[in-house]
Amino acid sequence: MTELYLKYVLNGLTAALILLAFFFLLRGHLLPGGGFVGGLMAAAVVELAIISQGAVTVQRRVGRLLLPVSGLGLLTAVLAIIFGWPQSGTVFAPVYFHLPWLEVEFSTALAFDFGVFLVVMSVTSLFLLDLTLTRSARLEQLLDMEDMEDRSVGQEQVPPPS
Amino acid sequence: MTDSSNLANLLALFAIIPLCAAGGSLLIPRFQLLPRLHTHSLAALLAGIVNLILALWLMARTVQGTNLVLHVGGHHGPFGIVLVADVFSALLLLLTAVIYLGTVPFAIDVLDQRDRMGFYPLSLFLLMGVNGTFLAGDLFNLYVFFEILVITSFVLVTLGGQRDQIRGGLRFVVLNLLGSMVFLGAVAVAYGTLGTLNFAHIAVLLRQPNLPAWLVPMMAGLLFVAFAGKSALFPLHFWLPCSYHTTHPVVNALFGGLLTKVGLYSLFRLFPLLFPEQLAAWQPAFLALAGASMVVGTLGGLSGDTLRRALSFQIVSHIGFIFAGLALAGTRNGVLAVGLAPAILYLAHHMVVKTAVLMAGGAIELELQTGRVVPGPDGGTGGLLAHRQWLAIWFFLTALSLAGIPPFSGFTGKLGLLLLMISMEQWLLLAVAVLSSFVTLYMIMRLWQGAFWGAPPPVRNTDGPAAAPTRLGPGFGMLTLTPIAVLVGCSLLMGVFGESAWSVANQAAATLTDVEAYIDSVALAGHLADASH
Repeated sequence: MTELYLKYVLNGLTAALILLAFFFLLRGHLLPGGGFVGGLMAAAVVELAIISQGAVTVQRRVGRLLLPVSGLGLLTAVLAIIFGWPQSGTVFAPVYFHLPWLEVEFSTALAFDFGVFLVVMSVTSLFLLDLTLTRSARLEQLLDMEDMEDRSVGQEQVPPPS
Repeated sequence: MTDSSNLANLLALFAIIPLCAAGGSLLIPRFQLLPRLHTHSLAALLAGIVNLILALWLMARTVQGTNLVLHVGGHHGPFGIVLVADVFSALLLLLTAVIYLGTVPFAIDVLDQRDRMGFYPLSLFLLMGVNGTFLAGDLFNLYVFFEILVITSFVLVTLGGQRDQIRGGLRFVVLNLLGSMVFLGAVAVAYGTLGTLNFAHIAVLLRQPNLPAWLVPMMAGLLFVAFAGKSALFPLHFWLPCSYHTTHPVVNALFGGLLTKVGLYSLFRLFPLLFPEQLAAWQPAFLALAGASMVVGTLGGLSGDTLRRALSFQIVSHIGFIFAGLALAGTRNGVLAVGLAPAILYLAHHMVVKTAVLMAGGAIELELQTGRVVPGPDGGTGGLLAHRQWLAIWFFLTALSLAGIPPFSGFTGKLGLLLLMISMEQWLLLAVAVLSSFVTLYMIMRLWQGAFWGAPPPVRNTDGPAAAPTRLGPGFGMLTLTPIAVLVGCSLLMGVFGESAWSVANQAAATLTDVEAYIDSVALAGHLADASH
């Protein structure tokens, strides 16, 4: 049940939404916005892809990446938390880098926000995918997986021999 | 004495280390390193070990009388986030670390398909939530860490997706969400009226003369309802017996050791600090709830038809014991440290022993593939004694400790609580407590008989499908027995070296009742005085 007109606007809209997500991410440094809002915007891109191309296609393309990306986001955030520790004597202290050749400022607070961005985007996308995948689509996905044992999950009362 | 130097930053590691291990587990796919070990369980094991070392270090520092205070990011309270560690926090962090590290080998040994469904990362998030709760210095972060552990536990309760798990998990989720909402209501009341969420700052502001009369009872009532729900105190306990036994034994042991204690910790932390008068004024009601918890938990344990259902329901009775200590400590002249000490000792005993007994009970259920070992019309006997002598010994010893037989830790804690009841002349409560102890002993001996006596089940068949069908499950090994033995050893040590255990409990109780010291340790360099104007 893919929508024809959505397919045509998808490319342009995807680029615009990703730009908007990054705009919100960067804006959150000083103004309302930030990693959470930006991550939700980025998840909207995934939702758009789900509506226009079908959940199974999206699952095939990015499904396996989403959980690792959320882990990456968590580690990024943790790294940003402890980065300023040696320098300022406390965790969560922001460290600012001035990049003169670009005339922009980069801080570990932004890195933390980027970690939040990754976590929110990937986890929200996981929810959206899981809500959209129908039973038949799930079956198809299960058939794709090499690990066939997972099909028995939840059906047995007693644990199998380890 | 307060230490807020660079060393206090190590407090943040209690949240950061589980978070790192969980994030790494999500990032790196699960693959086998050794026959029994894969990347996820290795991450959980390493995080557990580092967490234990940290907790030991913190205990060694705080037991000398030093409170550690971390002003996160250099922003001072009451507006900055504050993490506070005193002896009570350190004690609970240490117990949590021991229990977590004990359940990881158990999980490596016996976990089923839930292994692939993310048990280890989830357990790490649970550890993070529990650790953070014990360190939070303000209501909002307490709420945040509560949510981390509660939402993780929603997933852990239903992990496996079996029908009865979903059924029990639904009640678990609904009651815990309601509790969180009430908690958030209390946070809103505190912020709306006092304009602060920092514990120390609230304690200072509640001393103002012209506060509205409804404020303290309302805050205390809302927080009590929220924490009583989380700690499964009598009228709000029903989510526990309908969900715990449906989980995998590993999850059950982890929950039995950690989950309800977080609510108790919050009651112990906040009531002496913020609402000492309320503790005295509501003492009759609190004692009634504690007594009712003892009765309901004991009778529920007695009527439980499976091993783990009985053991899980019995948690409610222990919650009643511990809460009775808190309720008895509240007097007109302030909160008595001598009243809190036995409750803290009993709390420590309960966390260790309950985890051990749930691990042993889970091992029995896994071995027999059924929990119906209660002798009676519809329950058979297990007859495990022939195959599992060591498990029989450890289960017997945990049972003795649980019932409060010397020289185990259950005895010292229970004795302290009973003496406290006598000195407060609470005869009815005393009678209930003593009776429920005896009934607990009867219940758990019956369970032991049911599991280990009787005709031995047929030996596991190795002769191929033609032989008789077996009753024994996949079984377990040293990785299960060793943590149980270590936890029993902890209980024994706490009982034998009762004097040292008492002194730590007394010290923890003293830090809980010493409100001024807590306020002083959090408010550095006059920040609090500025903020209250």
